[in-house]
Amino acid sequence: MTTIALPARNEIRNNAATVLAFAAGMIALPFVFGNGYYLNTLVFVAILALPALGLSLLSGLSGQLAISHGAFFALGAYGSSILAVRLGIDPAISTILAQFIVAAIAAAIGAVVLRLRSHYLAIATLSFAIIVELLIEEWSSVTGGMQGMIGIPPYEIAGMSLTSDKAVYLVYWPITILMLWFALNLSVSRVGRALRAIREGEPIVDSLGIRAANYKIGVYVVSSVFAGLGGSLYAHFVGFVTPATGSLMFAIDIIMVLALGGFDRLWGALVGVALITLLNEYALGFADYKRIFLGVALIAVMLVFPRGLLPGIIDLVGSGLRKGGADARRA
Amino acid sequence: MITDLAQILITTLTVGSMYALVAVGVSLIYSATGVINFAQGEFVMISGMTVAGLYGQLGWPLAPAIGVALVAVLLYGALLMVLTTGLARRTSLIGVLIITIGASIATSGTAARIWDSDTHRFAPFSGDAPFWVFGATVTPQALWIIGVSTVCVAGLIWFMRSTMVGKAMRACSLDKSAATMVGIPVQATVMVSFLLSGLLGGVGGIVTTPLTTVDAYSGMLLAIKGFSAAMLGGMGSIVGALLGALLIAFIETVTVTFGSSALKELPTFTAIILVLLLLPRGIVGGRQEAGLQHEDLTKQ
Repeated sequence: MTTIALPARNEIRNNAATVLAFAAGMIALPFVFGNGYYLNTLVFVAILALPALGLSLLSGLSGQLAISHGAFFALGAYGSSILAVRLGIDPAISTILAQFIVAAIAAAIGAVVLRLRSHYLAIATLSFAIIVELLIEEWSSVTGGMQGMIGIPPYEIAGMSLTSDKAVYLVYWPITILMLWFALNLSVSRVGRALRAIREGEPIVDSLGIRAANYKIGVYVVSSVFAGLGGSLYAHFVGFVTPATGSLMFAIDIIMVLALGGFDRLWGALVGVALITLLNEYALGFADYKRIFLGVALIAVMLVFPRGLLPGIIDLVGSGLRKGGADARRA
Repeated sequence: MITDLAQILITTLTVGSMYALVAVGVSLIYSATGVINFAQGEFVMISGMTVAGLYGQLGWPLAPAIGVALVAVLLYGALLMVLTTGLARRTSLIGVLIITIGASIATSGTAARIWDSDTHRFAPFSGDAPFWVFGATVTPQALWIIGVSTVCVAGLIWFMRSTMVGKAMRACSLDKSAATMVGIPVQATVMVSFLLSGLLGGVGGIVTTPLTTVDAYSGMLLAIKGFSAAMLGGMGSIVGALLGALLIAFIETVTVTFGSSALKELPTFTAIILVLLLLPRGIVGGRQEAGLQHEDLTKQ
């Protein structure tokens, strides 16, 4: 049994400082480098970071592996699109409504499947994800079936619709950073400590008067809403959704992101998403070469850096620096 | 009515045999290592594609094509063993799961480069002409699938119960340290598990491809089905994996017969969630072992 490091109160202040600096950098980016296609890529990073942060909260803190984040991404995307297109609700309001739907479904599913553990939880959430994908494909009167839905309206702010990459970038990144900040604070809060304790053993947590089951359902709902919000933002940015949005492959992509960024690092999720998105956009043209490359890269990363690429590199650099420092002192 | 019943029975047995070969393979590797092998379906894909290429396209005789396919899956099994256990000593369970996902993705991509992304099949072993039993259509290949799978699974059960190697494998899956102490070479039994598991998948690919066709990407869904079947039955139990596979096949067949084929997966996966909730350790109870007591898959 490992001891659980209790985060000091000043971690919350440190988080605020780092997040503010990061936010300032991201907001300044388009004004320094001007417009360009890179903004489009970065919008996708902001969108995909949300489900990755969600999964990182769930499995990083409480050690539970769910394969349902693609499904909640799809529910967020379809939920908001259906409300906006079929009922004519304003996109911003439909997005918020969609998150309530996602939260309700996550609470219902979570209450049932979170009684299972480890591989059994993974397969139950995987089954749920496959069911959602099938329902989206087959319930075509509402979801548009295999063709999906087109003409999903963009968000409007003060009568201006968000269509240019730069405008979307400037709205989406603050949202993502706000969610990151929330996640960072949650992970050092009392709730975060309880969740980390659950990962070490539920009976102990229960014996201390903390209802482990409720905490698990709670973090599952929060984590799923992260994914759902990502889905809604995605739908209103690209303007269409298809059953491929949030499919099983997507869920696996998100797990890969964590493999790159590290399972217990929220910042790592962001770096992992950026790496995967860049690879998708620029480096890999052919789908089959991409599969080969991604597959081999995943294997290599997990063998060389079992805790994930980013934590592995940080450890390497850290030990290099310490060694360098010692050498310098000796000289 | 009797026709419907006969048809459901024969289809369940055919599809169930196919899933059983994958599920038993998943279960074998799980017993030996605690690893859930997402790349299990790739055995089926590799052998199906190899025989389709050599026998179906290049016109080789069937026997050498099957020989090459079996050698290919044995090599692939050995490679997976090295990746998931030999090299991955420091990697957490979730990390090893990701390694097998990576292996599955890379293998399907490689297969799509070696062959192509189209579906492949080859001629059935004893012709296409179906015959009728109680009005139900039976193809000769379905009988091949059922027969070969029965022989394989029965042979495996006999092997595990009655041979020294099989007993050693069961001992290792119960308690590795105790097995080491009485002189059982644990690494060798793990290797045997991977090779047997690969052979089962390979045989599955060879007998089912004439009926179901194969493409470079068909491995992952098969693995998920096999994984679900093994879990339904009770992880680590061969009989359980067989029952789980037949149950999944039965639900699918009934759905396709009386409902829509598009929705055939829906009752299946609903049933998986329900069974897991009602019988958390599967139909036959599975094995109570250390791996499952870990609530944290990210622990190294």
